[in-house]
Amino acid sequence: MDFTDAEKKEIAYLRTRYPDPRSLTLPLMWMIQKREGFVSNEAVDLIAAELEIPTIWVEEVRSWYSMFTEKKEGKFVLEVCNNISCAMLGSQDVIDHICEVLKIKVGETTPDGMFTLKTVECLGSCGTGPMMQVGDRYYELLDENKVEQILEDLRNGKEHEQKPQEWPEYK
Amino acid sequence: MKEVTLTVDGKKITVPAGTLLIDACEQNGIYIPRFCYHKHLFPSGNCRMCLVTIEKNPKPQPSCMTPVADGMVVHTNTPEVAEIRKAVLEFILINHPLDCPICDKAGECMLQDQYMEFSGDKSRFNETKVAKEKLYHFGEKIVYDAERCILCSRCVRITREVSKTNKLGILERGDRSYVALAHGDTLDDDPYAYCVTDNCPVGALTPTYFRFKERVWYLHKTPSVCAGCSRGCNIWIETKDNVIYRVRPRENDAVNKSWMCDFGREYYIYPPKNRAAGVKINHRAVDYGKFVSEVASLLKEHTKETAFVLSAYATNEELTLAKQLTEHLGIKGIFHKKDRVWQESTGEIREDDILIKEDKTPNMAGVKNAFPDAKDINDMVISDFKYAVVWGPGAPLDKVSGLELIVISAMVDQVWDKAKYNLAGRISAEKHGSFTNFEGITQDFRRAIKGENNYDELTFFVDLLKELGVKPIGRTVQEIQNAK
Ligand code: SF4
Ligand code: SF4
Ligand code: FES
Ligand code: FES
Repeated sequence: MDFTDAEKKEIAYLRTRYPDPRSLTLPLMWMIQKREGFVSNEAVDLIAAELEIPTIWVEEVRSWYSMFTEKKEGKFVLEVCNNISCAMLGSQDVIDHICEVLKIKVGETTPDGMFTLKTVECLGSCGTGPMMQVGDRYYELLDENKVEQILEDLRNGKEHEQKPQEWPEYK
Repeated sequence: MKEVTLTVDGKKITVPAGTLLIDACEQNGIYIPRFCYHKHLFPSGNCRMCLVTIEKNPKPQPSCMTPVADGMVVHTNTPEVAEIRKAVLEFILINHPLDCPICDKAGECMLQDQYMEFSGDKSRFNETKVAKEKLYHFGEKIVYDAERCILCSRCVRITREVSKTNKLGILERGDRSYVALAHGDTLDDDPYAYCVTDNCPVGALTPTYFRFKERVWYLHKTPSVCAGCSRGCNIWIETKDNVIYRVRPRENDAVNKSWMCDFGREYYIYPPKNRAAGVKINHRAVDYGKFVSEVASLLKEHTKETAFVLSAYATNEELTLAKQLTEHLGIKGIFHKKDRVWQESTGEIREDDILIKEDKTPNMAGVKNAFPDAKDINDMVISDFKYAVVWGPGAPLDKVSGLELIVISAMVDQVWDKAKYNLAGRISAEKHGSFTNFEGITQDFRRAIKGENNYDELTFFVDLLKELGVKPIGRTVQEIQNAK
């Protein structure tokens, strides 16, 4: 495994901005995560060698941030909030339903490599729970029908437009 | 150096500027409880056990991260501080497995001790504790128990600051955190790895050689000095029933701080197989008294043709008597040798800039002090001599012929096998005495275990001198040291 030529150029530039090479751990890890979808042990070694820092320092960073994963995950990672507000609004039903539809458990990936299901802590969208994040997008005010539709759209490559959420009317 | 004066618990104390509050208090008789702070490591301030209140400061402060300041007014014995300590202990104990009955650290555990001293409260935690890995092999030498770990990061800082191998780190976050090595790595090639086990405040890191072997309160601790190299690290030899169970560094700021190397430790824990035994003439066991008188008359008769080869394992007191002996007899051919040299094949480190020295014997400096005129054994003209008294192992005389050998050594080697006269000596763990390290620091050590089927060299020289009708300078280490 190695960095691509474009990445190497980028690294050379980044080095001028980060006098302490250790600080480059995150940008380099992002490069790998974006390209491969995960940061393998081999990638950890690559980063450590590039920055000339101990391997364990890179592993510490990988395990600290949940955005980096050690194993390959599904094309879509469903991060369903299971913190208190969402839980009170029924997030467990949504999670159970996803499990049923995709036939996987929390933390697992579908055999076709399409979806990984995770539960996460509060994503700051408590007012519109239950909610989940897929990639860069928030899906809010979920219920069983809605989440099923979203899964189907994602599978069929239908883009969801990112627009401000309309607030529900509370009675 | 600039000094500052502050008030701790109503007492005025003066310490050098820059001293950490925790040390300033300790130097003045006020011990502040702690887990993560270690005086020979960079402070990390993560456990909060050392919190104290400082007047005009709105929140309690970690004394291990707070340098003293002029006019500071500190409280360490108020009800508020007592409450804080209880709270910190309660917090640390939330996920602690409390397996003291099967934990090797029990009896010397900082968590046990500080809980007994500063809390004693019942737990209010009725939920399920977080379960973690209990048997994580950090290689062959050390086992890690993630449940017992209180995440103080001392071990991480030891690999970072002492051994400088940067092997350990902390993975994950919050209550999932645990200490780990990089994938595929082991602590086996860290020459100071066992230090993490000594300095772990709890029983999270245990050396495999000691796991489940003995309860620590049954061990008898003897202060000794490592004979592994010329650094002379201060150590505790911990024994029971004449068996060495454990060896640990003994704190000494001038020599080894709180550390020692793993080779030094294993030197005691896995005693060498080639130990010499008995007293022999012509390979036959003889009476010790007969041996002494035969050697005495031989030396008297052949003084001019006798070479005297010194041991760098000898204690200073033995050397004093050896000097008295050689001076009395007028032996001129005196040589020093390296009893043990670095052997690459064993994986031993030759020298580093931490503790390990290239001279693998403990008392070469003592030899040179006592016998400044002794020559290197490699410069010995064999044909000048008919007899050689060889003291200690490692003499390069195994190939020479025409020399009759009198060997006094704790180790069997080829020279021992060739000798006509053999007397088994003792290793430093088996005797009292002192060594002078490469910096010229002379350090006493005490006998930790009794020698079996071997003879104290000091007593042998006493007997030899008496046989020759000379009054020895002293008959014990104490007498010789007082006579000097
Ligand atoms: S293993 Fe021991 S020394 Fe290391 S972090 Fe845990 S408690 Fe501290
Ligand atoms: S550095 Fe030398 S004296 Fe210290 S423990 Fe190691 S071998 Fe013994
Ligand atoms: S609790 Fe779910 S977004 Fe805050
Ligand atoms: S000893 Fe000060 S915070 Fe741990």
